[in-house]
Amino acid sequence: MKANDLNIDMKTRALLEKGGIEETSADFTQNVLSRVKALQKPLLSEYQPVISRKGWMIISAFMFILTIAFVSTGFLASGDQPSSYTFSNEIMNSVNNFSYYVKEIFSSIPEYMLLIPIALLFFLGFDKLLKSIINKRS
Amino acid sequence: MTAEEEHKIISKVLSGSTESYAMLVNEYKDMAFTVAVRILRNKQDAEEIAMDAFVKAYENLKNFNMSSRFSSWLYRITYNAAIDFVRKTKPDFMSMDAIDQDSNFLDKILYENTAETLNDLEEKDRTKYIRMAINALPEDEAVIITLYYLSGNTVMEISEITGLSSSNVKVKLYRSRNKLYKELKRLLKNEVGNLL
Repeated sequence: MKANDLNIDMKTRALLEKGGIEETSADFTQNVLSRVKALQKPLLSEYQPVISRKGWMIISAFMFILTIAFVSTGFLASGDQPSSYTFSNEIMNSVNNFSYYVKEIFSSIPEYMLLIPIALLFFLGFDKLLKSIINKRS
Repeated sequence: MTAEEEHKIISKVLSGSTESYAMLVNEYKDMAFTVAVRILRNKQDAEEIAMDAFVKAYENLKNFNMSSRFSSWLYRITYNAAIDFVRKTKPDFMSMDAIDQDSNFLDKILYENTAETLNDLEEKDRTKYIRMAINALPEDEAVIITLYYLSGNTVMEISEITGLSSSNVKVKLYRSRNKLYKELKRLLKNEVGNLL
């Protein structure tokens, strides 16, 4: 009985293979791929900050120099100079000289211009906040 | 295509190579289309359903379980899509037996004579009668017989694709095979009658 069943099975398979399978149209695959490609959403342009990482480093260096300049000016003004000669004194003297020149440059700049770096810092902070919000959403 | 080959292509598609998906489409499009035709009995609708099935499979490819065959998964999507389509367009859809239910014993002579007679026909006529015979079967039996004999799916795989139990699939397979041969015999007798 089993052998008979197997025989019928084979005959049925052979029979169906002769005409049982339907064929799609010639452009079937192309149509599928077109639909699939249409599904792919365009990449959302990632929000780029106004100031890049490199720019941040330059600004930080600049701010550091300014800080040194203002701090050193304080030293000059207070007359707080070390009495004994040390390596740190050498550095301090160099910094003081540099800050003197920087102070000279800055003293020629009108006071209201000092608002510019403050405003810049504000916008930089706002820019970073915007970036984090928009990138979270995407 | 082996399961390993399928998985390699799927990995490529998931990495972003959409064009690789074409290999899977080309391999299984005819069988997916055939499954849809068996249910819908309309080639235009069936092609649309088959395309939708491939697109749906692509959309859910990241959820595909690599331990199973892509072909079985695809046919399941196609089968369900076709059934849903029929239910929407024909609310009173029900599988109805079109042929005599008497299929309790195997008729060896029936099979052999029918097969021999078919062999004598020209290819296009042979194809025509085979398809007519399959279309005369209830939709679920037509799908089962197609998946088993043409796609080479096991009873277990067919059970997963159709949602029927394995025992139910076996019973339907057995019955549909008998019905197929009886319908072919009837058609061929009519053909001979027309010629005379």
